[in-house]
Amino acid sequence: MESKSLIKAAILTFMLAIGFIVYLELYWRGRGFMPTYNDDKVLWSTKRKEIYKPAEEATVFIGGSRIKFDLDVPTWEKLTGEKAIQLAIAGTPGRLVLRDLANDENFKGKVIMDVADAQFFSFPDSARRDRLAREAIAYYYDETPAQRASAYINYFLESKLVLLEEGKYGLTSLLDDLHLTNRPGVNVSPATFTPKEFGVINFNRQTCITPMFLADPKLQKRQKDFWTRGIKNASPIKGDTLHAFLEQTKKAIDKIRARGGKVVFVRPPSDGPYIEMETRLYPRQKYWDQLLKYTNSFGIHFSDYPIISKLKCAEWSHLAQPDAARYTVQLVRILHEEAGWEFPNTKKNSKSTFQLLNK
Amino acid sequence: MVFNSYTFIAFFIIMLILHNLPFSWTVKKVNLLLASYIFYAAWNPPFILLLWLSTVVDYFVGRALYTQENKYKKRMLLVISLIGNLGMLCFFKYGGFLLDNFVALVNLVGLDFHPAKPNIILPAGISFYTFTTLCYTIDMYHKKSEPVKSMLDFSLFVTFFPHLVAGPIVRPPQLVPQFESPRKANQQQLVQGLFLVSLGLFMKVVLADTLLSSSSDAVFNFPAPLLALDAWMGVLAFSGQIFFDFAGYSTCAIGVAMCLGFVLPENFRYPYAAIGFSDFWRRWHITLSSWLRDYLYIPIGGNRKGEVRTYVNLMITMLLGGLWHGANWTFVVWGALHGTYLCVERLIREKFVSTPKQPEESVSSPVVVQAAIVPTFGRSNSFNNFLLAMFTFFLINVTWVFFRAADFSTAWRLLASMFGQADNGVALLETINIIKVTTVVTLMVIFHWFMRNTSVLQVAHKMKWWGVAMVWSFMIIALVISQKSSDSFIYFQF
Repeated sequence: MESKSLIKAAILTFMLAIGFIVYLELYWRGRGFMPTYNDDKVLWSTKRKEIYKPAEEATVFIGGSRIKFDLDVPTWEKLTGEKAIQLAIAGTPGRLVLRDLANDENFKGKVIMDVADAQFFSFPDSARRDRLAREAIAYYYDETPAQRASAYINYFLESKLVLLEEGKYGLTSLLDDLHLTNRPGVNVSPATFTPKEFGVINFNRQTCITPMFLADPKLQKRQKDFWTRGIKNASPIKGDTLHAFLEQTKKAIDKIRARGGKVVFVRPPSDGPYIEMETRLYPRQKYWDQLLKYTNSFGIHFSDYPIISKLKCAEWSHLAQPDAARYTVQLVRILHEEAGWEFPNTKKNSKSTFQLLNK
Repeated sequence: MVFNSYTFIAFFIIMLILHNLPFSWTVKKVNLLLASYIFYAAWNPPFILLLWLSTVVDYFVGRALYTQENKYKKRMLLVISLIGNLGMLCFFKYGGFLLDNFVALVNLVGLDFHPAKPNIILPAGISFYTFTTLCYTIDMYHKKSEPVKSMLDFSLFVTFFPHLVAGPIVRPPQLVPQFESPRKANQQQLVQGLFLVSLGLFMKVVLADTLLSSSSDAVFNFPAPLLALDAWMGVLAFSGQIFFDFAGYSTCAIGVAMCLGFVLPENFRYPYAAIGFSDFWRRWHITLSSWLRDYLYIPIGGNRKGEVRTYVNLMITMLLGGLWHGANWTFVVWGALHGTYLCVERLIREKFVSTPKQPEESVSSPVVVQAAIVPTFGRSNSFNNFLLAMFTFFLINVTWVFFRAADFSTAWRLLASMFGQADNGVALLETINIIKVTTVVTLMVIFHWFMRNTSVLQVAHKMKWWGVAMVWSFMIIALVISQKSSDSFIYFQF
């Protein structure tokens, strides 16, 4: 082929590729989707670097998806004057991250750990369940300067383009959307069931339920069905295994406390048939209460607080706005009034903010 | 820094601009050298010192080897270079492995010895750049080519970023002359280079990472027996993944170099269309098999010391070739299997196939042509040849089990599953993944078969320009849609 023909081929290629990308971007925006960030190990690692701020400037949140949805980061930061470092990883119990923080001698800050019974008290050190956390932690320690630079270029592009969310619009996700029938016994990736409209992730790693999801009962049912299937397969740990697990958790917490850090557990709201299943499989006295007693920790269980109990989850398990903001307000107040946490950087108008959100 | 990353795209654009500005050739070479060090340092900055040390030592030792007339001093200098390069490689790559095996041996004889496990980071690309510098010093010993005239040119030969971390392994005569006079890509080379970069990224990101890696990882990481279908899907996924990953890297490297006006040697030639294992090694990681032929197989005797020694030399070469890939006995077994296949193939040809003998050294044929008679039937595309190629592919897949498995128990378990010998095998893979693997691997094999005697650029040159554009834009669109996070290349760990 002559040089001229090659140039023509390159120009046509460029035009076709750009044209398709523009079409794809407009297609997803036309369906109501907005730019979001990949909630991956790279973003987690970026946040993980921030944990070394002084204790009065930041609190680290770990656990699973509930605290990712239910903690409203702007509300937290406005009320406390502190940064919320969101290290929770959806679909994981947070154990490995807790251990990572415990083993990091330089971490002396405050930790709020989300406990979702079906994850926290199941499958101790399961390779599958903890895989995402394991990968994120390994990536944090192995990240190269080139990867870090790439990440910041990527964040800029992700903030502008809808189609760059790999988990929703990537080729793997699009193929998974075919929902082909599987052979009996094959475990299907949870990501396959979660509707694309479920949540968007901002740079703070907060996940927000979208108006599209809230407006569509079919999507909510799909997500509820997924939770039901998940909890039916739950395998609560008991006896010696539970004891060993509590001991491991206690050791990690003691390490953080020995360095001057703090750890508090939170049990965010769930409702509908889901809370009934959770309560049946994971009775509070046997699990939540045991956890607090064994680790000598303060805990905020949603059912102990009438205001939080009345908050409604969008699909039995996660709060949407503005309930997430309300939950965060209560969290801050309880931590301050009952757990003795001081927020020295609180702004003067925070009291009026409390009153405003309690209306 | 990996090719499939935004950082590399930014880096490459800057390099292209700098390389095409009206600087002197020396300035451009300095730019390329500094860029290559930055490229390497972007992985782990302190290890630049290792690379630099290897470069400096071998430059001066190489010059001394060429000019030294005293036989004993010459040998001493070669030993210094070998110890320096291989010592460094052994320490970083095999230090832990050697210690583990020593401890196992010592414990076996009843001594209680449990040393602390050393935390040795394996420098990226050490296996590759070590072989590159060894090429040079051994060639200087044999006076196969002239010493490189300047430290700048030699440094650039060793560290030229397209080939630095995962090959192709270049020989001094292949690259050094290209640094002696100004080079930059003309329009055709630039466009061809960009096409190859796109193709390489498509192979790596779309085919290897997006469509195949999850099935391969799921199967090889599964701790229990599987149904035969799942086991085979995982192994086939890996055979596709490793080809697309490594060939993708080489294609990117060749494309990047072409955009800068340089030519790197071909490293893959549709290996899954190979008919027999000697053909396979003429097509898979060509620069490594050439290196093993010229610097290991021939020096230890090749096929010049009788039939038995030929087989022994072949096995030694393949065993060490296996070990080169990683510090694990599974890699040695992988090498041993290939060695066995090659020996059996040679035996069959010697006894049952009468074909004209090839000359002792065939310049264009890598490692094991010396140990096997080139098959006359390899040249046509008959149905029988296709069946033979499929049989070769089947045997290659068996070897990949050992290559990919973390340990022997995983390998045996998977082999048992593959051949229906496992009790209580489970279904693991989702239907969509089975379809992905089947589709990609089938198309890969068909593509290899029809492309086995040609190349992508040759085919592209015969196509209409709009046809090339359609294929090219399809690859770029697939790249954008795949959006796979920048996973490193498999061969970075070797």
